[in-house]
Amino acid sequence: MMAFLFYPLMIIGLMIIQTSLCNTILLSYNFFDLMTPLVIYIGLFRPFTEGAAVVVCMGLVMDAVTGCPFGLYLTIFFWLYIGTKWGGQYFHAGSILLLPFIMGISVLFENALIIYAMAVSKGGGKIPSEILARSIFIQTMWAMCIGPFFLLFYSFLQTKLKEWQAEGWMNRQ
Amino acid sequence: MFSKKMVVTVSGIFLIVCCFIWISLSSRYPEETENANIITLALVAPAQDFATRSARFVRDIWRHYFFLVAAAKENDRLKQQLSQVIENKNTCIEVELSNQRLQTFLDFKKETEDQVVAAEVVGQDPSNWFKSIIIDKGKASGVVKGMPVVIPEGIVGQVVMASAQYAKVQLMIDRNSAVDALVQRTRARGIVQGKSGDRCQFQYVLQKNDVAVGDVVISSGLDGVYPKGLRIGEVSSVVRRNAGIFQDVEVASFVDFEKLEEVLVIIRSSERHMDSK
Repeated sequence: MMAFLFYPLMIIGLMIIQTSLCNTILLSYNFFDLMTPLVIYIGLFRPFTEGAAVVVCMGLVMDAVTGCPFGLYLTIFFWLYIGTKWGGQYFHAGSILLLPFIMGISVLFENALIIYAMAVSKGGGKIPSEILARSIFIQTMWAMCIGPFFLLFYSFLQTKLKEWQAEGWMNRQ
Repeated sequence: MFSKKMVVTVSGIFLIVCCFIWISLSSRYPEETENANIITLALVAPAQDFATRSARFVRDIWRHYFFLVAAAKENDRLKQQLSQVIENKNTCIEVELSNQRLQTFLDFKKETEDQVVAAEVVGQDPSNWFKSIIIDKGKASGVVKGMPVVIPEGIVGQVVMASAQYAKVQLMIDRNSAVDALVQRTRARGIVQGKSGDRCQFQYVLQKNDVAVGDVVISSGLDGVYPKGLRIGEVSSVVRRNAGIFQDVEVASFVDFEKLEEVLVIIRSSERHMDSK
């Protein structure tokens, strides 16, 4: 029950942070998508069946509420998920040294797909390449610096939820 | 010689008589007994003072305890009242601000000939690269894809998707957005297109046209979406290059997209344009 509530609450919370805090205080173009660490966390630490459903839901939600072409975030999250699941077989997922690089690569991958979608969309104005490069660089740096903390936070939160759930179950017994 | 009983009786009578004499003398001549009185007072008063203070201390503690209990209760009640008053005040401020905004909307609604639907912004775009908002009016209120969205300050964007109760509005600053526009002062024509950040690019303005910083840019009405004459923004920079036939003109929108709360969707105008299409 707790696990099912965890993801919707996290998604809503992250969206609120992104639309309020990031867009007003941190300048939207220069901060990475906060959904990315959640996808990485699910890919690295959660079972496949649970993770796949959540990632698809996240992608659909983002596609619905953003002005992107429909399916863009679904594609991004899906391939990020597959990539981290695949990579998790070869690397030690919990390594604190690897997490910044995983975050950096994920943000680069996400931006690459978005830029591709913008490039192929008809009639769109072009964002100057220097602004594009600068903002992607800053986003990647942000992701590498604070992204791993998001992963650790999710891990901590889910462990606590499990504990509370177990305690609640024991009390009922 | 004398029995013990007799000695006690006589001594008692003697003491009583002495007391009476003492009382009589001290009553008649009080100044004569003053020294004795002073000594007595000096001996007794500290003890009396101590006893009185102790009693007062206990009484005060007792009274203050009850007083504190009552004060604490009153404090709680007053705090509750204060928080209610603050809440009411905040509500009043919000209502006043909302009233002002809606009054502006109403004035704008009266001014414009187009039929409009007021909608509230219920969501913002959480992505980094796209600029859109979600409004709480959809097909049920007559809002369909392609309708222009405005506020009294200027153009907000256009509806790109509508469900029964909600609609997604692509903001004018989104890079996929374009508005056919002209400079109000010189009637120079071009297309205002979204750019990175909160600025727009006024494209395809010929080098020969007179455009200066501070000029107001309005919609031309030729794109079939936005009615003519809606305010877009103000020219913030003009760059004329030696080569090329167009100028680089940047426009700062009149709309503060971060503070959008209510918008107006133009319904009739859009239908008119759609019919003409």
